[in-house]
Amino acid sequence: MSDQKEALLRAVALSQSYSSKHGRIRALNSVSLELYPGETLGIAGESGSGKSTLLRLLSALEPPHEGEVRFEGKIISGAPVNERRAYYKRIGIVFQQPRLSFDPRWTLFRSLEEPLQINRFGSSGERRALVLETAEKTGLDEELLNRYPSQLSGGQLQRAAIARAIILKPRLVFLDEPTAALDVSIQAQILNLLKDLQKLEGLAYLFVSHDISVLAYLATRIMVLKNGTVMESGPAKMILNEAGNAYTRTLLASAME
Amino acid sequence: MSEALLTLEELTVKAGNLTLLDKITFSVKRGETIGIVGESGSGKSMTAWSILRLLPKGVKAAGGKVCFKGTDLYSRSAEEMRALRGRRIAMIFQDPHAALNPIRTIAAQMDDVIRAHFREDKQARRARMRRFLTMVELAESERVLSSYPFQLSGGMLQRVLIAMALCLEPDMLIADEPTTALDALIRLQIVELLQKVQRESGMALMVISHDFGVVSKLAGHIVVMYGGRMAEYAATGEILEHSRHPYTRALLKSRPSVKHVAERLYTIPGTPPKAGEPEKGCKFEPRCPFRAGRCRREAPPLYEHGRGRVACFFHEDLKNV
Repeated sequence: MSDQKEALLRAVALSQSYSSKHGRIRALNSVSLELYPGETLGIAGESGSGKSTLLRLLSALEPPHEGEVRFEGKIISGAPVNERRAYYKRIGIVFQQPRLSFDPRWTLFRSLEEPLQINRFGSSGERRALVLETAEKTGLDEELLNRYPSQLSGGQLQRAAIARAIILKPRLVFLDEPTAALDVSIQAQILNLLKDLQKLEGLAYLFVSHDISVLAYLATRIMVLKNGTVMESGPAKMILNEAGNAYTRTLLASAME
Repeated sequence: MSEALLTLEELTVKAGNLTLLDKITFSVKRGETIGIVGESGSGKSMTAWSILRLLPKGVKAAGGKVCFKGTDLYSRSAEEMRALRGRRIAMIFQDPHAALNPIRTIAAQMDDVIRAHFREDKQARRARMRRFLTMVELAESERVLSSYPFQLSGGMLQRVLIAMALCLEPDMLIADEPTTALDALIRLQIVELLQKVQRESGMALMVISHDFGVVSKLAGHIVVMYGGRMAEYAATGEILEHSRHPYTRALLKSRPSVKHVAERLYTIPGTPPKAGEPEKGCKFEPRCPFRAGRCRREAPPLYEHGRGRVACFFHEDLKNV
């Protein structure tokens, strides 16, 4: 069924290696993937699995050594800077540590308005209206917008990071361990918020986590990475219930419940 | 029934007028594991520090007792506490990188610890290091000993810290979020290692974590903390299956699972309270689905039920919910 739709994001045979003291290190080994509109692709992997490298290549922060990345059919990897800038407007990124994602000297309002200013969006009044609307969607009270990051909790800041990631109405959001640094009760709030926003805004997510139970909740499909190589990939239900790969099964068994 | 190794009796800790820990009461015996579960600001780490009398500046024990082997640690001299820390009660922390000196070898740092407490010659100390590194399943103990922290992985470093804690043969180990900084697979390995070393040494273990999974795999009994108070105390199975406290239940329900993928996660509205908030009543009242007027006026006492204790006026009603 998915094959009839055009892939929003498609990566073909991505490989990346870095040089180190001990010679070349292959961080990613011929990884291919497709992400369709409105879906969530979960990337499961431990430290050193290559999931961060993959994220950098897919978000065009870095060109791949081999292979290509396409967004809506257009090649992004290695594209000239103006084309990559156009791509950056269509995607959002949310990182693990919300406290490191905000300028401590700026109010939340200013941080949320910044992407609109950079992209010369509307008048000051229109920008203000969009900031307020986005804050409401992400469950941030209006009075919080005048606060500085130090006056906000980790959960509130992560909501703000999500607000900033979706304010330009992207089609695709990269989520890099967005709940790993949060309390259990706050993690559930954020995961539900992501689920609601996906429906509301028709977002596609590429969700990277070492915690497979978090991926189980949101992912349509799951890809398991180890040492830069895809171990297994398929519909989330299949990976969770009838994983064929031994490493995937170990990863599932490691979820202590 | 053997005597408790460590008993906290209504331990209360304050920073000025702010109550950070309010009448914490539980005990642990040799060979037993007690788990402490809570979110940020619940007081779980503060409980560990107050046992070792390592309270931050301006924070003081304001009431209650910490009895270790029958004597109150708060009646001991500073000298006696120094001899006891590490030697009788050892502790490991969340981030193994932060616990080690980056510019000294593992051997040098383990040696400091051993020399501070034992009069052994160089050879005996080296043998002790190797013995405990083997116990934590670090096979090439000589290579590990000559390494610097940056040359070892996070999982290996946490093993080194466990070996460093165990090499003084303590009666009790306090592990504060020992697996939080680690990947899922390494997390499971460290949990299994803690189980193994406890069985072999017979020490008491206190494991502190925000993660019910980690704690319930290790502990026989669990204390659930919220806002500096005990919400609930009971055997692990009781807590997991028949909790009588709305917070414990909500926390358990809000975890995602790989076995039963929920359509929607249960959420607790709001955020964990700051110290001293709310001033009156039950700390969980603002977020509680079962709250009533009484909960805002007075703090619930710790009710005894079966072999557990629970701080909720409605614990009887919760039996059937």
